[in-house]
Amino acid sequence: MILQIGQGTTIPLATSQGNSIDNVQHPCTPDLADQHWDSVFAKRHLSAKPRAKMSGRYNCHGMVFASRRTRIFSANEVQKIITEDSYIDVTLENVLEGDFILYQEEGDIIHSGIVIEPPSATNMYNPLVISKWGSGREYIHRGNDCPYPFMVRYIRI
Amino acid sequence: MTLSEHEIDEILYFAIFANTGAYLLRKLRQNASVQRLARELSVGSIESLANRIFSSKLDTNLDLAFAYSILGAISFHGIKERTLILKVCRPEKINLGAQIVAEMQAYYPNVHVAKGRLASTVLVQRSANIPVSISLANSLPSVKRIETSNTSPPSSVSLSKF
Repeated sequence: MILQIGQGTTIPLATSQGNSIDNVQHPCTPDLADQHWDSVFAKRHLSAKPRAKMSGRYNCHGMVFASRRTRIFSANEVQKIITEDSYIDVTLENVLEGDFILYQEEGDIIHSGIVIEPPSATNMYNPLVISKWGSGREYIHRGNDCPYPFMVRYIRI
Repeated sequence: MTLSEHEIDEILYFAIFANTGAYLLRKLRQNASVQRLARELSVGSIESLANRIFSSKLDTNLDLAFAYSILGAISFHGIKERTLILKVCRPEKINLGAQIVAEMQAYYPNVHVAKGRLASTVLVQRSANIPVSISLANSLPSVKRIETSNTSPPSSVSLSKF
């Protein structure tokens, strides 16, 4: 079986220990009308406020760990960054603005974002987050109002 | 076989917001339309559909949804005696495709992904007993390099898992 699918560009990217990180920049979005998907997302995620355009160049992990320059598409690579860059887990009551939130499913880190309002009793421990949804836009959203299950942990360096 | 507007939106919704190939492949495999495609069509039929869809310009959401569905559907089939070539005319339109293919190694441990000079992804599965049809592969000018494995083919992924 031979499949030849997808093309992209890889850029030099490494952990703080100098080990390379697999990444790819895709040339464009899936070429689907932003307007259509804005309406789909708006119906499903009422509190999410879009910012920036749809982009295939970077994804959530690329936004959080690679300054919006490329896509990091493997959960294993994200784990490598967390380990080699010495991130530590932060307990719920100690989360601060700027900490990272990681969404996990079946052991994989399926999504990541940046906390802009920490979880607290005031917001029922539902933080405000900025994150990028795949090839879609970046959104400012409540932690539980996005396409990914709200099973999260928080990290910082 | 066709897909309703709702089914198209469901598949493309995952395709857009998935951040990793593993997550997208998992969601595709959980999708009822993809499971129906895998269940109702033989490997040969999927291959025919794939060749038609992937050689189109993928100008419609229906084509795009089918393209992703095919990637999910073929992961259910143990393809060990066939040479399946999906040549995509507009690879940028299914930019998560290469990542899904890489993740398919979880289902086909003997599959190897080779990155060519153009960063295109070539995936080859080769049985020790049944040679891959290299001549067919070579007929594609964009295939730069092929890596093969001489290990035994993986066992089939059964649809009875549902």
